[in-house]
Amino acid sequence: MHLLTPATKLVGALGFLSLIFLFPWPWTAGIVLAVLSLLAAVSSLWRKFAGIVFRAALPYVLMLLVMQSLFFPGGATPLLRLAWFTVKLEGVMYATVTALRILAMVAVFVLVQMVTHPAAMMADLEQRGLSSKVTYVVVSTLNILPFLMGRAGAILDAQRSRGLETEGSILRRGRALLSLIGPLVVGTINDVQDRAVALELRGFSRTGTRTFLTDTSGPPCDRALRLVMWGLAAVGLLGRVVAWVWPG
Amino acid sequence: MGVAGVDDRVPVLEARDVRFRYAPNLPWAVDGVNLQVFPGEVLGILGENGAGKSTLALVLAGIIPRLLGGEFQGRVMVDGRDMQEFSAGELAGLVGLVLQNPFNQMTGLAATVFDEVAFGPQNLGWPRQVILSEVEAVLDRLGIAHLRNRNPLSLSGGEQQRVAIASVLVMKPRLLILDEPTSQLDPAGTESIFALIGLLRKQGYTTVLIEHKVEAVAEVCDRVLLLRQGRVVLEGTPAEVLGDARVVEAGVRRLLYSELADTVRSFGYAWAAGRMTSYRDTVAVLRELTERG
Amino acid sequence: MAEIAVEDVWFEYEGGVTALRGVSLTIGPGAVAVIGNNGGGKTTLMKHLNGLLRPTRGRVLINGRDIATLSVARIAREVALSFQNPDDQLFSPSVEAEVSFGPRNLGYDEGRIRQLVDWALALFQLEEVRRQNPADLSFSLRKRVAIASAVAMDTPVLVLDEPTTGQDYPSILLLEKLIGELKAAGRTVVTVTHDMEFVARNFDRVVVMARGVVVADGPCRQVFADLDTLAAARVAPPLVARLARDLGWQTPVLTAQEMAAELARRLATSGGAQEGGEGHAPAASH
Repeated sequence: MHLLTPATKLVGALGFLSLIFLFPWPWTAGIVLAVLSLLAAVSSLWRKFAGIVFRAALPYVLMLLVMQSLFFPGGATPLLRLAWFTVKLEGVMYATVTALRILAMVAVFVLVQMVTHPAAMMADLEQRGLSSKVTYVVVSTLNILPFLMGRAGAILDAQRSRGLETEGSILRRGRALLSLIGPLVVGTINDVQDRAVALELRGFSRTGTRTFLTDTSGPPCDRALRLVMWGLAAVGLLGRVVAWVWPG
Repeated sequence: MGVAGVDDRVPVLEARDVRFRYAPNLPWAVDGVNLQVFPGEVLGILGENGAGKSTLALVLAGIIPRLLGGEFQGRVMVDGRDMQEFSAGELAGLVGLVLQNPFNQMTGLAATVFDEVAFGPQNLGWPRQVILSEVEAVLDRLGIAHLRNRNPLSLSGGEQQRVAIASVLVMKPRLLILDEPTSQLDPAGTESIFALIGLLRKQGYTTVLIEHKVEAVAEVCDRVLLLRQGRVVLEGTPAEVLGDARVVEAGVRRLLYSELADTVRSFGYAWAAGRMTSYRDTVAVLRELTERG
Repeated sequence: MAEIAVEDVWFEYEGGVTALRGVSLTIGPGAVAVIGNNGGGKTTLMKHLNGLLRPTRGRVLINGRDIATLSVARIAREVALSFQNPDDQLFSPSVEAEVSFGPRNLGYDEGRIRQLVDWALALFQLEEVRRQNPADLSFSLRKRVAIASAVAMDTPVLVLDEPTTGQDYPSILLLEKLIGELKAAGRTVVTVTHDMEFVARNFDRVVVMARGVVVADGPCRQVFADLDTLAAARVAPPLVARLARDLGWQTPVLTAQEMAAELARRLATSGGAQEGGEGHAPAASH
């Protein structure tokens, strides 16, 4: 799955999302989730995938499920009575569907991110004509962000060491904010300037043809798969249109 | 190599009457600099912070005024040809520059050191096979082949600086300018960079090195310039310049060996004092002097 | 006057790395340098001195009081810590404002703040740039501003993290002058650094950290003469010490001045001084 072109993966994301949210049958999301989980397992990405989708996202989704079940307006079939709440079947069903949709959406994004390499994505987009500067900013930011987080910690340490109170009233914390954000912003500006010089020196602004080292052509089935993904997206959309035109 | 003041070699890089300031209301950061860099030499540039060394580095690399604007006067020539006459395409990769902060020189695009080093050649549009072999070669030459699959953003400062140097050298620049490459590194990283500079010198590269660590500069540089308030105020071999008491006024520390040479000279051993220009020579001379009699 | 006591401190980072393994030491008035290879624990130890890190086991006391319950901001009244990257702390529109940030946080009155800021600016020769934006200054000046802001907090203890990296010679001289003044006033100065020459010139006591433990702790001269321990801790002594060792001298020398003096002594007693005239090269060398 890693071998597919980034473009195919993006279209795939689109296709699945369309199915999840547009296709009228409510339990589609569940199927998509199952399919994606299977794909993850088959590509030996299960651990990380499950870690994010099920361990990290699930608690929030469950909470959402409970809230929606309790507060669902309308619906006639009561299941449970808890103090002054009535949990109805319709409510639980609706909540479950929503929960599944969200989980499935998270799964799509996680899987795409896990199998796509930023540089490959950038090279692919560039070859299809997207400006290199735009893609550079996006891709490099994604890569560098984790390291920026480290800096935020260093800044906090430095300012606390100068007597900055970080606990206490909102007003106090508000005043603290400037001393924390200031260095991050200025530091980032300096870093960006440095990096701009470094890039310029390596010919980044040159207008001639570039060579692409990463082989961004996928396996033979890539093209076909992409068409299938477009098909899925269409199915989702069509299904929604059909349901709208012929309700009931 | 070459008697001071008389040199008939063609300089790789030459600056003539260069003046630059970032804005009209600011003082001249570079105020009438004339310098030449000859093939195969390592030229050191010393001076206190604010003397204009980094600005000069950007001027010599062609970044000023092209990328950063400002008011520029004079000429910078590479192989006798004015830099302004080069097209943007020809200028790319002509002069290599490595800055202080190792992390900021990693593009943030490459997943591996190999890709990082290949970035420049890719921009230059070299054929694929050539890129692959050149990157391989430069990684070997710099002794970082073992890092080829590592993520550049996760390397140590010293390693990142070596990758930065490789990324610039792979484009086969006419010369390499290093602006305080070790200032953010620990002793081990510093040593690795100076060792690398020595290695490059042996391999015939032309290098301009801006540094504060005077003993290391004395070991690795052929000639040294002292910059003060945007002007070159002293020029000569490391021992000549760093032995001169005037460097202190310009905010540069004198060489340890020169301090000791003063003592030696005061005992009448002028000939010995003149030889104390490097660690090894100093040890040899002092051993000789103190074991006599 | 202040005394910091570190009592059998162990520290483990999230992720399992044990950075400190039972470190005990007492820091009183005077100048102490903490040196050691990266990963040896010196930075971790430094962060325990002002509460940024709390021991996994053991305790840290300031003037006999356990700091475990005190916030970092509260401890900052006793211990001012300045980090190596000035850009991690500079945010004010002017150098003046930046230097007054620390004292203001500590709740000093305006009069005292003004006094302290003026004093710190004068110490670091920053008066000419006091109204400029620190972000517009060179790295060396920015670092001076950062250290000045810590100094202006007027605390009994000052901790400096790598104060000489990226600094030019004049800035280092100013820093050394400051350390001298603080020592004379009975304050405590602690530095964590790789710069052995800086240590040799200014610090009476050196603590060497390796693999999370203190492997040497004593007078500067003594520690730098113990080449075996230093080698095992992967720390190189100052250049003069190496030079002296390579010359086979038994007398430990720390600074260029000491070396010059020792050299003069040896020259006077060996070949015999040749006053006035030119010496001549020997016919054949050793």
